[in-house]
Amino acid sequence: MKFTSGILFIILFSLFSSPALYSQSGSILRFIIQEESGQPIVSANVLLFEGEEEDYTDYGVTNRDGFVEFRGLKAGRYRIQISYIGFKTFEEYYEIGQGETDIHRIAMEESIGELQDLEIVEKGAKTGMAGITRIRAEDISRIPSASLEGDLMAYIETMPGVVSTGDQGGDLYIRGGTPSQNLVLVDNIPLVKPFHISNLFSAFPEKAVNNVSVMAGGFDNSYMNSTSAVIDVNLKTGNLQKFSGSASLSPYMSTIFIETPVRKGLSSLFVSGRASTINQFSGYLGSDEKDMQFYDIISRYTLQGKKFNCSLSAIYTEDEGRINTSRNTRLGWTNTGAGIRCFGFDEMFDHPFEVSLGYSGFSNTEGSDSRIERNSRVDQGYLRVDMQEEVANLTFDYGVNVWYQSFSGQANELFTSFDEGIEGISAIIQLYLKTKWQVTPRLILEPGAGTQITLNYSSGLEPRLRVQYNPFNNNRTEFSIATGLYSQTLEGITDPRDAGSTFTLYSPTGYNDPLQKAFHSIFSWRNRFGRNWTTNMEVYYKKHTNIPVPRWSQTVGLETETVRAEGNTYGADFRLEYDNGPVFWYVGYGFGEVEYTAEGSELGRWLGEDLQSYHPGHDQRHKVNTLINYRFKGFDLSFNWEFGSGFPYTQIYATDLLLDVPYDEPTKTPGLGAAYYDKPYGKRLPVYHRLDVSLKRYFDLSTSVRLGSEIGAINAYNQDNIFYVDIVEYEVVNQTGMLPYISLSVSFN
Amino acid sequence: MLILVAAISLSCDTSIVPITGGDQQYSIYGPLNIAESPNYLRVHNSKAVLNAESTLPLNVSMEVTNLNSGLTEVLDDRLVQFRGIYTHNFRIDMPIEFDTRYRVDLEDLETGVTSSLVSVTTKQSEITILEDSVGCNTAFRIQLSNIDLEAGERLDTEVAVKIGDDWRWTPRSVNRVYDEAAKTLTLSWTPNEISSYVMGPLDFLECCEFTSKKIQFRFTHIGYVEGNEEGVLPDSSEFNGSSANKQIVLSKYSDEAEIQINPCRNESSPVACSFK
Repeated sequence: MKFTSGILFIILFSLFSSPALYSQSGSILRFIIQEESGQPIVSANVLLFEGEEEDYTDYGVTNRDGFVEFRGLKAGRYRIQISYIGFKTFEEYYEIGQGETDIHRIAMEESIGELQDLEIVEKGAKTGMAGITRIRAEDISRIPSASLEGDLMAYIETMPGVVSTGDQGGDLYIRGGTPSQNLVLVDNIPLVKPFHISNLFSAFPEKAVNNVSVMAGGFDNSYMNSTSAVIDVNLKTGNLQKFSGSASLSPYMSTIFIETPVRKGLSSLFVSGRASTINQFSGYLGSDEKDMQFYDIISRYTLQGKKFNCSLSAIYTEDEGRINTSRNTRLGWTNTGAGIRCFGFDEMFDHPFEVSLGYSGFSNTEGSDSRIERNSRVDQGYLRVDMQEEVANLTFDYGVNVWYQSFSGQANELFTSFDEGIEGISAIIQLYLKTKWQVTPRLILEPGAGTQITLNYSSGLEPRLRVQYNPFNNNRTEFSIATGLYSQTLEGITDPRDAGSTFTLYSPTGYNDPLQKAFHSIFSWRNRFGRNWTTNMEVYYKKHTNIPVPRWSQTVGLETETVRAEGNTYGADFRLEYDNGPVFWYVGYGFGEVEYTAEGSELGRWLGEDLQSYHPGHDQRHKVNTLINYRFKGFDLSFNWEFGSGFPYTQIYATDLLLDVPYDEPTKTPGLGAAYYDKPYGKRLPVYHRLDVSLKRYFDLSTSVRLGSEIGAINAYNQDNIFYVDIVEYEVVNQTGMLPYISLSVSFN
Repeated sequence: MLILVAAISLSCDTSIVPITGGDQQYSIYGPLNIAESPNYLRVHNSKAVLNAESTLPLNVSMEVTNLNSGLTEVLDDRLVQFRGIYTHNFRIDMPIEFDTRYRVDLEDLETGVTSSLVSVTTKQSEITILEDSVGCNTAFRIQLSNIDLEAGERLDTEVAVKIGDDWRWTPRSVNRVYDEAAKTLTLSWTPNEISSYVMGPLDFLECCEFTSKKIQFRFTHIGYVEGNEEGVLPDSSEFNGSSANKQIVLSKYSDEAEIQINPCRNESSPVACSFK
């Protein structure tokens, strides 16, 4: 019975591959790219007109490959109009024959300083689709990030509903989910933790990124094996026309970036390398001493054929250091990934398809200066095929992903359930099917279903639904809903009581263990006011089951027993944006509550009572972010201020210095230090707030050489924000104080 | 925005209390060594975070009273710092005597709350060697008198054999026969049992390969705390045996003896050997 959903899917797949279902109407397929660099234009608005008609007959929005299609066209003459901010509007006529498929690549010309008045705002654009935020490289550049170029991490941290429990550790909690419940994809390569030990940086600099979708919940069935959130990163295409590059240096990061055509107009390569310079510069400029180093290398080779885009992407990241410099706990992690992804269209398939194949590896360690005491490694390989078919005038997306995971690790008595260490493999077949149904001009339904099957278990059917409703039949006001069931086979086990360590032991769900599952429900309202204002409000609820959490014990010890809890999260996010070109203002507010519960004494006991619920360490109730970005006379001035209510923390109930009586002599023996926990997370840290400022300016030294400079400060007013209470070292650890910086860059083309 | 930032910066309290409040509780640890003077009692405030600032102050007074004689001594605090943490060790100058009840009184000078315990020292026990000059596989026997295990006393015993130039010690708690009426404890081992325990099964040596014909024996006779044999306060019992504030003050008295063995004594041992 547990494989019923898989069998159902196989039957559906067979149906879709039947030639009898192929459509015989005409189609227009377009790849939209930038003329200068060959970069795909994502989210461009495309209108289709019949002949000289003034009202458009259909519209579309380019996907992450710059691809858009119109189907079910009768033979005739059509006009296509493409518009995108910063580019000249493109317009052209085409003749389509009966059953003909017309494929073209369109290069759009940049239009500097000109803003288009768009008639169509993308369906589900930046804040419109429930749970989804789409981020462009330009958005990332607005956030001050201690380096001349922006970083994805700095942007994500400004989002309401996203919590990082401090400024170190590289962990992101998204709407109540834990880091191991997030799925990070880079050109379809799954990565476990591509975030650096300094939370100022991820592995994704602005220059390497084309666009990112952060899905805080409610994502569709093409994303499986995550119960909380998905971060889908699409790397940029290297410049197809000319060689260019840049290098920069700041007290926290040095970078180098090179992009070049391999065959002009056809293929290109970019390489981005960054290395931290924090250790070298910390202690200067008034900043605290730090012990952390990291680097990342990202590269992508792109081949753009007439009917396909193929890319070979590779990434390597390495992090190492201490979160608490006064404690001898050294953490480290690496990500390795490489994958091929091809998106294309061929008449023999009738519809676009995507094939991805790749590998990724992740390891993380914890130890002292002299030796590694714990380690955990995950290796993953995947082969993924995504296709489309048309049935009864509905376009169905469907796909299969064969995913192999290998686990190894030693927790060295940290988790009693894994005393023997972990050695295991998991082979997963993921199947999904979804469609988009325009019920009325105002209402679109996107139902879907998927399943995950391994030799040991099946996740069952995971139905999901997205709904878009435009009540006034315009694109200024939109309501959307996303709901569905989610499951994941990967488990990340950590001891969240110790914020001084982010070590996570990864394992597949055991044969007799229940799968982690979740139910998401999001309601979103989006509105545009005038030409410059956009607002978005979302309310959400997530229910997680079978979350592995440590069983509470009063003593601080090495061994932690892992038990299963249920997590309930609800909250509301609000965003308001004003954008008139030189002035950009954003304010975001997030409210959330996370509670873990379990029956009986599963979570532990304290002074004779069962612990049945608690608010975990990432339960932040209120978060406010505001960003002001002002461009004037060649300068770019940014302020980013963040305010957050305090995170829960656990007090110490008592300490002791244990002596072995009657053998230890009190005046000659210190005794064994011991601490006993109070009830879990019974107190909250003080509020957190921080202001980051930056002032940027670029100078053209010649027609091909540009000098960039930036001055700024992270935590500009040097607020003492508490990071956590270190129960091992019995001290309060603060977040980083003021980090002033001066950055310089040089770029050429 | 700057006004908002300034207002919030000034109004927010950024301090936290890492340890719960509530009444102070104190751990008391100390040996009452009958053979030595002075003795020290360690007092730790269980509400002190383990750093210098928090462990330095301790606002308590300590007294020890010999309940047999009625003599009371007010104890002075001797501060000793270990790795940045201050420890408070109260000095007892009065001699600790056998078979005596000592009351330890602690008073929190801030709250006036007092706590006390009564530690009972042991009687002096005497060693009688019941059987020695044994062969490798014959048990020698030792008897100790004045042992009151029923009251809560403990007896830690060790034996050693000489191998090469070293005396190899091992704790031995098996083969003990306690006579409750006579308050005697009889212990017995064979030399080869000790060898097996000390050397392990792979490096086992016949007792004739020992470099001494003597076996060393020593013991520590430990007293008890009245009504609280494990030294755990009742309100700490929910800590699954890991009490937050233990109060353990135990007397101790140690002695030792030598037992002669005869490795060449003819036994049923298949190994014929001569003493080296």
